Amino acid sequence: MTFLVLRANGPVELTVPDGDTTILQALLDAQEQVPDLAFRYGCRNERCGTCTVEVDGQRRLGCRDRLRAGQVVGPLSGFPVIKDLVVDRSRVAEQLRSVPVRPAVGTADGAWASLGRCIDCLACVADCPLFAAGRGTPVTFLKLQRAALEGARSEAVDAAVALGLTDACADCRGCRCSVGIRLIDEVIDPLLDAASDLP
Amino acid sequence: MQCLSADVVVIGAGAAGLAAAAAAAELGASVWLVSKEPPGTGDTKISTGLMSVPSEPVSLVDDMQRSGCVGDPALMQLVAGGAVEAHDWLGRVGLRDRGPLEDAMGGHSEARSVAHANRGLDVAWAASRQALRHERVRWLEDAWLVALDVGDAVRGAWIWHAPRGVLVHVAGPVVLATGGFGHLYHPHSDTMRSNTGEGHLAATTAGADLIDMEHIQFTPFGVVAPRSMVGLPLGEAVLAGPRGRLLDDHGEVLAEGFATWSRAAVAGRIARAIHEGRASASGGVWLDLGPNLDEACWADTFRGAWGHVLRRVRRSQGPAAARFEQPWEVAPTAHYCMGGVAIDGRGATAAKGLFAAGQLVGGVHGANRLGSTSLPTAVVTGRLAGAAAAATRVAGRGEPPRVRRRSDALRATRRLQQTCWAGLGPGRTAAGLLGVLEVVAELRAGAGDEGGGVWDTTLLASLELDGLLHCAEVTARAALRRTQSLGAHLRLDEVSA
Repeated sequence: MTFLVLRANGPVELTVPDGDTTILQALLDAQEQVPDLAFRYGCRNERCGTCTVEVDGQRRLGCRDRLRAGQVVGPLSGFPVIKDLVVDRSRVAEQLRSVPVRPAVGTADGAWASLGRCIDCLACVADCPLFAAGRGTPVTFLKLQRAALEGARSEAVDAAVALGLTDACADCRGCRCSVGIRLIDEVIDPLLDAASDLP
Repeated sequence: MQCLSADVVVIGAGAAGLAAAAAAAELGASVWLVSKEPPGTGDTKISTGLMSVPSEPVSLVDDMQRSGCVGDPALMQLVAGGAVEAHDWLGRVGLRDRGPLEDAMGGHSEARSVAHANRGLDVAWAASRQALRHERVRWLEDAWLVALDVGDAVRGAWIWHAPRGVLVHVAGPVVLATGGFGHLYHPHSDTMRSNTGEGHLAATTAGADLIDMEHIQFTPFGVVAPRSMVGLPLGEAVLAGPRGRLLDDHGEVLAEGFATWSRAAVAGRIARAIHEGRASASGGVWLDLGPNLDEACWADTFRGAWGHVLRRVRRSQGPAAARFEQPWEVAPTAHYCMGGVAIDGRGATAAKGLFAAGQLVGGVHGANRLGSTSLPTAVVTGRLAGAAAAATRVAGRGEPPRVRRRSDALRATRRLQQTCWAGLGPGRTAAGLLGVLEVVAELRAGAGDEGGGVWDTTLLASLELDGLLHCAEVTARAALRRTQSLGAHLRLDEVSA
């Protein structure tokens, strides 16, 4: 099977064995021939969130999603590219400092547990106009909404507003999640509602 | 060259490193948290998230020691005694649990493990919050450990920052929390790719001791095919239920009634069958859960508890296997390193100024770790080491190390991994172990040059290869010396006493 990778110096055609091929397996096979091909991966098991790339312009989890002949693999858009498929994600973790902390109360319930499915794959960040403008990201808002559910509602909403929630999110509705979290219903709208309730 | 400094330097950002950073910060220390992956993105995050919360720590210590007379009883007492507080500490930043598991996990004499809704994701996020809520904790990701800076004491670490392709000196007493070296067995491993043993190598070079290195835990049920999924975990022995059976490729029963067996006991039975040529063409044996379907409600209960395993089974082996109509093809997969750096009751190593925590530490789990004990280990040893490092003062800076870049690093790594899976895996012989040492010696001799650019995969692979070669050699030598099987260490060529 032959596919294309958008490398630092331009597109490169790579050929790997046919058969059951995830995007990540294709990249690992390609790296045997091209040892300086740069990409990230961690657990190979859909849990660590590090192997996100774009295939034909769509966000894909490398270890989960399939690659077909002729497709084009590129780095996650919206982020500075370091090399090949490796992007600079350091700004995302820095924002997480703004997430307020509360002691656990009760057991893991539906809404709180659902948000915990986030694997930080950053697929939602790639599309985000706020992130492009140097402000918040859907993944930060997700952690803030979780903190709101933990009892830190006003602090969490203040942090979200400071990161641009009320400037952009009501009209955008563009968040897409790789693991099935309904970001608009579960994160953005509850935060926007809370922001309009607070004085 | 960039120079950074803090009161404490922590290398590694899984639960152990995060706990160390948080504990140091709680005491007022400034911290540099340095890791290859972003904070929280270690084995903690991809784990089952189960945590032991023993009501009787003494009874947990008894269970931990049952694997054989290796390990450090004082460390076992420390971890068992601190396990409840470790879980509470994560609860203080919002970690909610789903309550206790009903059944005792394999090797435990009683049910004492709590589960979390999103398994390790919830635990890793809580540990991250404990560290990141302190402004005095700063971090550097995409950063590889090259060496420790050793003077009269360990006074910092030399770090390769991959995005810029530069060497960075980070000054301060060092807590190593770099995890295990499961990547030595890639793809027959369910651990993070980043587990490549740089911490073991740096600690040894600085004068710390490694102990119990021959004891590597292989969890019994790993995926055998397809290639992209080899080594991924398919749950614990307990999922076999009352009637699950292990069969060889001829349909002969290898084990029955093993739901309460330890990981080592089940993995050992499989490894022996594979060694005897009774494996499938893909190198596995067959786990048949079908007989349990006669038990009322068994399948529903199973789907509730092991849904994530069933999804992986369906994906790797098809819908009939996920309905238990066909047996699952399984083989052991590398899961945890019980051996590692020796520490005292404060988390201090034999090298002054150097502390260690988490999976990197040896002696906590004897010859066979029990399920749900690694996360308490990470938090307890991490907090100890972070607090002890915060009370340590060091000064000075040495000469930068030579960073050796070898053009064959990736190819050499793959050869080492194949060799170690064959010779240093779940079943071992003297001949196989000597073969590993020969290949290690040959690969060490590879030529290198200097330099390195932005995200230089060859240089990064070279740093990791050095760690893996060190761990392979020490583990093979320890395994050669232990001529009788014990815990997770299975000698197929042992002479019965």
